Amino acid sequence: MTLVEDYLRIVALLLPKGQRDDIVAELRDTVLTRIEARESELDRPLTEVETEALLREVGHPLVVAARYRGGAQQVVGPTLYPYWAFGVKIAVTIQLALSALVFVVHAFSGGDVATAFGHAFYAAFDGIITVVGFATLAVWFIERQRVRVDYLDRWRVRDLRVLEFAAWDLDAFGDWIARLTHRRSATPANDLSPYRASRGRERAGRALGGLVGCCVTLLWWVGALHFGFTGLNDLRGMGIDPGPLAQIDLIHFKAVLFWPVLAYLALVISRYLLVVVGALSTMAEGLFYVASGAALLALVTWIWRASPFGPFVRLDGLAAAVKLMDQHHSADVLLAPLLSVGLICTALGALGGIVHGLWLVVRSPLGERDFDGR
Amino acid sequence: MGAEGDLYESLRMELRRGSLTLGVLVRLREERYGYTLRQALAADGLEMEESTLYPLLRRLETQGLLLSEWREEDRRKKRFYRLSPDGVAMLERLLDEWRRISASLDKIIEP
Repeated sequence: MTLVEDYLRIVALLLPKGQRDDIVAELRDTVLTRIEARESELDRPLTEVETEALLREVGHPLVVAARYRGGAQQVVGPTLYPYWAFGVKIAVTIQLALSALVFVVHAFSGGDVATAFGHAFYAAFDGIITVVGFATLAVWFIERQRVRVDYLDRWRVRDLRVLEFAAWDLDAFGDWIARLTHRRSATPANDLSPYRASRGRERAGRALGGLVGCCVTLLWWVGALHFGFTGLNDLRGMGIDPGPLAQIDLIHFKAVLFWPVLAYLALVISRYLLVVVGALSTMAEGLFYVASGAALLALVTWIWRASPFGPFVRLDGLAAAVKLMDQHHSADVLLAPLLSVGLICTALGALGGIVHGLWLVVRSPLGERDFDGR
Repeated sequence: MGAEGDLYESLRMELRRGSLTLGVLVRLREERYGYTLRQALAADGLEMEESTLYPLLRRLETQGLLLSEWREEDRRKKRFYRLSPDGVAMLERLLDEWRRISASLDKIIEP
């Protein structure tokens, strides 16, 4: 009976410690009873092959032990699977789109097409594995900690606009373009205009989309995701001339900004998470807006006044850059003015966020203090 | 026919799943150990793998519906199961529910 004892020893190792002896004793009795019944039918002892076949009928030790263990037996359960699948779809789409963009930029800026494809493929593959891994880890943690995500019970129809992306195919993309250009009316299946709120997609739907985007940005910032960009010279392929900005040490620049940007992303992700789980009051959301707006404004101010980019994006630097462009008769767009405009818009957006946040804080004691922000 | 056969098996398993627990509780109105319980259920037409039956028995015992004790029989220690008082009460409730479901289905099938 060495075969049987070997089998039971392995099963025992996989069982919870407190129940091990009890379960193994019962299994031993079961297996031996079956062997005796089979031997009685055959009127002879079982061979080793027949005994092994019988043990195979009882089941693989991993499967047998798992049946005695309580708790979740899956990494992503049926309740959270649709949300996991949606989040992964969005993140993978962003990763693929950015990798495709990088490939096009490298290929059209005079680089070797095969090398550019290789880099883009590696970046896409690596990024997708990372995103799926992190998403799975997050859901695994939620399932086992029994964190109740409020959104699962309190979603509303007007929050569902963000799910349009989940159903996108070429026809839906064509309809979207048509609606934008007003060439023809949308097909009935894609016409959600009755549900279009005047303020666009509603709070929880925006938060979910923003959460996924911020998580992808965070993973890129900490180096877990790569899109294949090697430097500002990559932009030449898109007709953007970085000019003197190409000389800036981006590695040092990122090192200086690493923790401030990480803190900012963590703040924004926290706000989105709290909105999705429905745990953010209007006042708290206002305070988040003020804090993140102030952080973003501080960041822009530092880039404008004290960073290596500062001399080139400030208005006096812009005039010199335009003069340089005239002298070289370059057909490319200069990066510096684009950055200037981008920084100004970001600063205005940050100021707007602060004002919006203050408004929410002031308003909250006067209106209902509901956790849906309505 | 393969795909249809698989679909039938899958739906058949879903239909049987709830009835197995009821069958086990009914059969344990009298004391049995695992092997004889499995044989009795098989004779009733409710075949069940050991890998399904034994964890089910443990779960029912943890839920307070069964009692068990080890006894020596035929020179080997065997674990005997029977319904607990809570198990008897639960079985009666489940049988009432089973009869209600059965009556409803009979009405639907043969109006």
